Amino acid sequence: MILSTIIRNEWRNLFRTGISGLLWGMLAILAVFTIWQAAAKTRDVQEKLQASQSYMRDKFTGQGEVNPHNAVHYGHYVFKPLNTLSVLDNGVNDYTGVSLYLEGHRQNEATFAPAQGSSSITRFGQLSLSLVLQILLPLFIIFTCHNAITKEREGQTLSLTVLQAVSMRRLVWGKVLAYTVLWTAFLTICLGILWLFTNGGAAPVSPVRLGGLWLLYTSYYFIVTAVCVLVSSVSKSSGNALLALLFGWLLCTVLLPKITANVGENAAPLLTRIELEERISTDKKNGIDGHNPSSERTQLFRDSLIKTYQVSSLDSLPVNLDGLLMQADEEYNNVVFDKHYGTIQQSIEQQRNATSISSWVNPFAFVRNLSMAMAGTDVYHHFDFTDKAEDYRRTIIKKMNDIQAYGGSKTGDWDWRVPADFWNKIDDFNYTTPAASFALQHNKMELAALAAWLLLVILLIQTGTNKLPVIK
Amino acid sequence: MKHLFIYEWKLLLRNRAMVTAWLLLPVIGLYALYYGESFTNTQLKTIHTIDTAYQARVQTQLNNFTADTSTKEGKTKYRNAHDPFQNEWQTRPMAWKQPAGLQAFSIGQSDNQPFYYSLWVYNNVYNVKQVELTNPDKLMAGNFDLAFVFIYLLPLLIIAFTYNIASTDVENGTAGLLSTQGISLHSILVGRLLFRAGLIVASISVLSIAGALLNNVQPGAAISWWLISLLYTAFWFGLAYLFVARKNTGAVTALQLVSVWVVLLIVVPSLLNSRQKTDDKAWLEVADAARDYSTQLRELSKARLADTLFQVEPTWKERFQQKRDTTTLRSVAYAYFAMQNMNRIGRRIDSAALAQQRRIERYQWVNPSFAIQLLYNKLAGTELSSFIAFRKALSDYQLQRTERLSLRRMAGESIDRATYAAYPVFVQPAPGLAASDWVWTAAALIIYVVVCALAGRYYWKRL
Repeated sequence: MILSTIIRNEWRNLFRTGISGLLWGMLAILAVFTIWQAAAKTRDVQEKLQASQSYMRDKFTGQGEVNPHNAVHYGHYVFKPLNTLSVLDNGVNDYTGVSLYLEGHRQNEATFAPAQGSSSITRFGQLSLSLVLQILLPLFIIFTCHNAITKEREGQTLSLTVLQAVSMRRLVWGKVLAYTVLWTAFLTICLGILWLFTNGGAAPVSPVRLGGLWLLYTSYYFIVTAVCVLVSSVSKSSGNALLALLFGWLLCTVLLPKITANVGENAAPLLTRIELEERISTDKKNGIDGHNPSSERTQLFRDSLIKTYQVSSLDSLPVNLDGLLMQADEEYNNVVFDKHYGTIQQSIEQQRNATSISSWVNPFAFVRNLSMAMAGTDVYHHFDFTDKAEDYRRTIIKKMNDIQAYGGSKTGDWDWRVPADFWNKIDDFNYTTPAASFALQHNKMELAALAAWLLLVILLIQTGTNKLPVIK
Repeated sequence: MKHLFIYEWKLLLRNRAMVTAWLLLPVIGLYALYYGESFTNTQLKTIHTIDTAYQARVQTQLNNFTADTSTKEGKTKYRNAHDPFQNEWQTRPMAWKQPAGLQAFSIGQSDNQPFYYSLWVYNNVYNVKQVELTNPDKLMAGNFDLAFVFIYLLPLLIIAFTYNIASTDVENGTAGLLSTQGISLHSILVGRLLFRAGLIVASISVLSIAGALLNNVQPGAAISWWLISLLYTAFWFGLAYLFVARKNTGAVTALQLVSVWVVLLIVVPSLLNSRQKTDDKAWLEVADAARDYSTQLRELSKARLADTLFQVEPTWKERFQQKRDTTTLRSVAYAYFAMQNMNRIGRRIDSAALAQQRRIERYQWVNPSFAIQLLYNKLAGTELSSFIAFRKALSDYQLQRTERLSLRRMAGESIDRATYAAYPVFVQPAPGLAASDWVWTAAALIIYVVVCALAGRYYWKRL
């Protein structure tokens, strides 16, 4: 019996039962519903964010003639654009803010995370395509494949099949491939529908990222299917296989993600806000305070200016000292912010490591992390946004301080104003999602675990299945 | 029935898998209690740090009222203590949400909401720029608290305990033998269910009592928690009875019950959650109101400023001291009116969030797991509605405090030690369950249990 015959036979058997068709139908409805709903929601959020960004940009450029330092305090808002692939996997978006207030003297974090304004139902997760693909479809695979071999053994057709010179290895490969092709077809249709729903939107879907997601989920389904068929091949009965697989599913999708996240949190606890503020405040005390001319470092900076400009006193400076002091203050603070916010990011990465490590024993862990990463909705993409927004903050604050220093105003003249068209000369903030390689770089352990799992199941099928007894 | 229970007990002791599963619940539950307690302790530690620093500032200010004015430093201290604005700045009042004992049982949304605030007049509880540091990945994964154990894992244990209680006799060929013992198979089934329910209730009770003792939970709250847990347990036993009574094989019954678990714990809540809408733009209004108000005030002359203030607060005119400078007027206007403005927008947003919560609550008939989570959270004061009630009380307090301060500043009045010492303190609204919270959920679950029992009885007789 050739492989294609085994595959065709499996498909025929699968679609012969009404319950299977019903489950397929339910899964398909769920998938289309989640895509349709998420696409509509994403479009709505994208439009709102776009409108908010335009509104804030208009306010920024329409400030008119104002003192640049007043504008530093007035600040500016930037918004995290919603990646279109969030239709598939919304990742941590509900738990990260979407807007960031940029102002002088301090670095803020993104605020107004949607989950904050929601009841605790938000902790049950969203019915999204990622939930269907990562959690529900594997459950369907278990329901379908748990008896792939036991059924043949219980019906005594296994010995007949083996008598026809079909090795157990070939039979297992046939069944694994038969089912994997089905799941892949389902996945391909889902991604195709997603493409159709999101095509022509504000931000087109990256084909590389979408292709990466297709590969990831195909590998995931191959692994899950292979595990199910292998468990079925070593189980005494279909019931035993089903219970073992259901227990594994619960462990992998419900228990382990929570346990590893909690373990990670205990292993690398985050600073409290108060601790962070204290540390920043202590480090800033040693810096230049633009609003406090009497500090020691400010004095040293003043002296250095007298030397640089070769003038006898500060009054003779050809530039506005206030602008220079403010910028020196900013630059010192930026070093302090980089140090402390860098530490926070490191702690979060360490916490996440616990989940990454669990990928070696839990396929759901790597698929979850890689899916978020490829959809551009994981914590690293959020950091990328906040880092770029912070760079932009530093750029615009420097421009404001520079115009105050070199724009022709005198030191102490806080009523001096920039011309109204000054604001139009400052570029708008345009965030673009990094390339797919960025997602992969931050998930090397998950990729290694995926490769290891693929290798493991292939090895098990190749080397272990021929030794399995035909009758138990 | 007594003999059946003794037999079941012996059977349990012989079945290592069942004993392990039964003992696993208290072990996992104890870990969940430890986790919840650690979370609450971290918050309490932070609150202690804030409170200690705040009390020290208050004490310093109290001492400054009687500072030695013969020195320059003493004079400054004395002046700052009597000047209401400087005094407020030096005190930098803080307020926090004191965690209830049951927070360790059900963390709810408390890891996702700010729990302390600076009440300095230029800050606003609805416009917090610096929030507590969190890992979004961890927030998404959720907490391993006792509520999670009861809501998610307890039903699985019930399924594991019950899926084969009827089929095992048929599969082992002992059903015929049992039916000759003078007791009906249905009575044996019910007896087995009750025996297993007893085991589960014992575990729940042990965990609830241990948790209550560890976290100083009030007896009333602990009993309410226990009753909610019993209600949920009864609901799952009802479902188990319904499916077991259909006389399928153990594997099929397990499959059906796990499918129900997936629908009730994953599909329905996540479906309802994905129908929620959040108005992110509304929060921008709050932030925008703060900075725009500041800009507008900067452009106003002293006379216009005073007129604006009196239009909104006519009573201030009587005590207004003409010599107050423009900067003070601007500061008063910003602190008091920007706060009112932000409160108005913030409360509108909170009302919308509450309305959304109520809309979701209406679906508790098809969403019993979340209905139980809501009861747990409301009892523990960790639900969104509890947080909104806290924030509203806090904003009322801050506004009241700012109003007093503003009036003093307008009138150019100083403050004395006795007045400062008698400042009202913030009183946090107590968490708890309203009768309406209880009634609907309890009614829904009891009706489900009765329907399951009747339908189960019907299937048992018919099949």
